[in-house]
Amino acid sequence: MYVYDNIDRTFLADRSRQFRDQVARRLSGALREDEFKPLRLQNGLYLQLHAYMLRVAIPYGVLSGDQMRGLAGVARDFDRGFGHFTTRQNIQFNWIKLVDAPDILDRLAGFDMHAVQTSGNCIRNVTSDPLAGATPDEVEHAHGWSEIIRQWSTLHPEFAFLPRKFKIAVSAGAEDRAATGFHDIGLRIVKSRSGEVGFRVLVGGGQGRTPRVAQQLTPFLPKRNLLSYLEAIMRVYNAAGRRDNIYKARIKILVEAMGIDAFRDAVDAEWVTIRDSAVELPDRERDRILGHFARPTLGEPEIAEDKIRNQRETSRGFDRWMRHNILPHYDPGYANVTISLKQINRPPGDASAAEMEAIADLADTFGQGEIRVTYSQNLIIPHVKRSMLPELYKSLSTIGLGGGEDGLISDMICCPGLDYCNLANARSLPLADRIFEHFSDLGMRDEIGRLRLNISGCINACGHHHAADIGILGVNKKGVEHYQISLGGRAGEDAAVGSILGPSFTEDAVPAAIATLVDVYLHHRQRDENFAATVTRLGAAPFKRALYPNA
Amino acid sequence: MTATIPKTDDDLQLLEFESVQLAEIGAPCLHLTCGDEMPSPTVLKGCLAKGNAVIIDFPVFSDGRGFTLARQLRQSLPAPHPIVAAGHIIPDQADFLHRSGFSHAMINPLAFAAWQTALGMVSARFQHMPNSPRGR
Repeated sequence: MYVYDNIDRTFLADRSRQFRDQVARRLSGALREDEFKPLRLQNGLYLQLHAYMLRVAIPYGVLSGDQMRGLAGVARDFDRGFGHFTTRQNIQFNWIKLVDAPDILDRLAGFDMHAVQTSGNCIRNVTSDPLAGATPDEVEHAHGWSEIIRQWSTLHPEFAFLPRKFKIAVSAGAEDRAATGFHDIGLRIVKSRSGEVGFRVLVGGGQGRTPRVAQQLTPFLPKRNLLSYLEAIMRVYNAAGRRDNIYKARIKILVEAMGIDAFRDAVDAEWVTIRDSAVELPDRERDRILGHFARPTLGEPEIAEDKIRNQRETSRGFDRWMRHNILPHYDPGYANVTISLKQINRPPGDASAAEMEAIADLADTFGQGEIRVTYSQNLIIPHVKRSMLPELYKSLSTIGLGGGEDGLISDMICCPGLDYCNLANARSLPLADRIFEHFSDLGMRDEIGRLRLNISGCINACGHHHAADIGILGVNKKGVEHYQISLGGRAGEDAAVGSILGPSFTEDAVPAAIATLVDVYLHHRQRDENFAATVTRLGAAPFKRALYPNA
Repeated sequence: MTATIPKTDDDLQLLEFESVQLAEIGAPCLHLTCGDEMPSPTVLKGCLAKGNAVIIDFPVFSDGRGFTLARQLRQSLPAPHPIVAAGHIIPDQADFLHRSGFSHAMINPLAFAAWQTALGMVSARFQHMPNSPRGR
């Protein structure tokens, strides 16, 4: 992973000092609230329903063990002992005091972390594939290029006051695990027919109240032109994106209004003025950054399969864990291990300080001292020897994290909802618990198989309900919480926005409604067909009929 | 550069970013506001010949279009040709303004110290910009 040098550390010290000065000027009245707001937002500080929330950047979701322990310390000393991992691979602390914020930023800087640009109308923390550098299916390591983008976008002077927030994701796998189709800019690292590696560039994706799947801006961008091309896109957006209406300010609206071809022409007109200029990353700097992302030296794997097979036969829990929590590694003697943060009575993505510390220790012992945060709000320990999987499972079970599954109906993405957020229309966490209860039978969950169920407490769609097999959206109907259900959304390679099935349900009625949809699937599925494939084959009609028999 | 930009009712003065001093410059040839189109090459050629300043007015500090406009202008008006940021701008933007191509900001002289501090606050340079090459 990328290791900070003096320049990076000086920057964080400067930035922290700058924010301390800004807080002092706000408290003294020298800065007005409207002037302070974008400054605090660009340091990750939100005013929520009950307290300030601090969102700390985890660049492309990668943490060292020491950083995870540091975050645990922040949770314990400045929050109520918890951290919340988000769909953008960041971590949020929900109970922060404004006066503590400068001290927290100093603390974070001590272990090379920060909250720069995790909020506000600027280029946000870049997200990527949580398996990058550890998976067999990638063109090359996506994190090196993510780091290049992170540095380029950090305090970019021209793009600190954009019309609206701006999110970039990078993916290099055959499977898109970074939801690039739902980002303002999605970059897919691809190989051309001649064998050259470059970027397929997507633009104008996003969720919220106007969900759009990103469109292709160019099928192949040479690597050397990445920064000039990104600057050209940003320039067109900064100059022409709408600033009169917050709901129409994202780049997706501009791309749609101009049409992708006219937008491309505008980008190209800017690009010719800076292409191959000093704006591009110098080769030496590129090599310096990419050099941090070489594959780790892994020890010789040991014969493990007999040991694993025996263990699977004797432990049902281990067997399920092997089926649902182990992801393939480029070295067949190794594995990537998902730690699920989805359990009943646990807000999806939440981890306690003690759990974070334990996970850091496990990553040091069983992996390479590295932890990844996933888009679906779980954690991954990459590079684990398969022979050590039984021991890792045992250790995880001891701290209550041996259960949970990656990608099943229980693996819900969920926003904090009305319990924390001042934008929400409805609570989402209690609903997640009720769905958990309804599908508490492990055999039933296994039978249903892969199914993405996501919950958002309002149309801002932080819970990514648009991009789910079954999406649930909280709405307020005459003061009562209701939930709208949609079907057929997907992140990933063939990204799609789900369609609303019909009138909304009360909280009490939602679990049974979900069960109805699942039953339709189980009834109609063909051999080995997962939920998404059945929906694609049948369309929404049979699901609608079952859900609204009297319609 | 003989004439100075006329003093306004608010007694604003010009801060020169490079020297971090209050300064005087030639009369403006163009007065733009965030969101204006790039002036024609002929107009810019005229400005360049006379050495006259271009002013970009920020109706509100969070209107970032001024940054892109300055950067585009700087491609046609090389340093030290004056490009002035005016209107609602705050000291915390000093470094961003300078690096995007502005040479000056029109400020309240009472805020000079805050601008001076802000300019020296963050030294990192992760991009190549008109008035500052990348740091690495």
